[in-house]
Amino acid sequence: MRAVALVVLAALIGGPRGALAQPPRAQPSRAGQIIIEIPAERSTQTKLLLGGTALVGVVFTALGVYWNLDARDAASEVEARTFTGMTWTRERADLVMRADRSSIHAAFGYSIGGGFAISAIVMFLLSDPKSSRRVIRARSVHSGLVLGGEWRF
Amino acid sequence: MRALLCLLAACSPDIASGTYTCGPDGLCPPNQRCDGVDDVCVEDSYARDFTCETAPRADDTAATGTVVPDPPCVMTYEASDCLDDPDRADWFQLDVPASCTNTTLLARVVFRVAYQPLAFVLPTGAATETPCTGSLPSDAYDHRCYAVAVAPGSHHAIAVGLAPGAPDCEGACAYNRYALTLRLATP
Repeated sequence: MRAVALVVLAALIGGPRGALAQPPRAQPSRAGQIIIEIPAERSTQTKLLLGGTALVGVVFTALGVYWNLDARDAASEVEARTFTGMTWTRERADLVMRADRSSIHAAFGYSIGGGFAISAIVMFLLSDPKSSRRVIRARSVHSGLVLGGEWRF
Repeated sequence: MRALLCLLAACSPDIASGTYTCGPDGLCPPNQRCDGVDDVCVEDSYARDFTCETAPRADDTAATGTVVPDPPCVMTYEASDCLDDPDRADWFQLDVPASCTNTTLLARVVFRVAYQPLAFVLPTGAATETPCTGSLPSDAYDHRCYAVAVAPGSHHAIAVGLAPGAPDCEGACAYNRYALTLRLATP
């Protein structure tokens, strides 16, 4: 009786909201049945792992972008297609070295960042919790309608 | 394709052959070398060796140096030549007219920074070089100057030579071209 009451309550208010990310969705299917979709939630540890992995990916990718822009900036200062009339100096040679060095750093940042980002996506997909489904059967009685079913928390 | 590579972090600068003049000590962009004829950085395979276009003269001593002909009290003498032997120096001789008073001899040599720097070879006991005030065509050039008060009717000899101990690309660019200006002036 207590379980029946809880299910009725859940059907009316949409389930225990405080514990779930999304409320259960009740949808009528066949006559006399109410199907309740109960979305599950990832554990806090999984969330932290996913968030941390994604964060590391974002940080390293951002560093890669920074070094990439630095390399492009340094390279653009010395790039030339026609005669410039300028002399090749140590400062310009240093710019070439800076462009090369930042390119290597950018490739490193993109590789690490991309690796972590892909790992986060894969982990997100693999750790997707399975939602449960409950079927509530309705039965007509003389004095009205009684709903029956089970619910576990 | 290169833009894509650059987007993916491989941003080595694209420097075409012949876009920069040679820097100090024959410095050039990666995979390029100083062309000894045009003083421009070119691809390795296109780089030519340095050659002096002028025929060697017998001016290696103070006594046999090129004579500046009949200089007036105020005059400018210009000469262009090159040096390709560390032991060689191009000497110039000058007789100050006896009628000149309060006269200064000014010498200035302009040369490429790509090769071994030049310096004046001064008579023993002469004053050292003086700071230059004139401008240069570009930063591909450097210059040395010398100024000394001269007496009327005196004889002077001055030479241009490769600066001893100066960077010479470890012997690979122990030569240079120069433009010398000798002036007699009254301050």
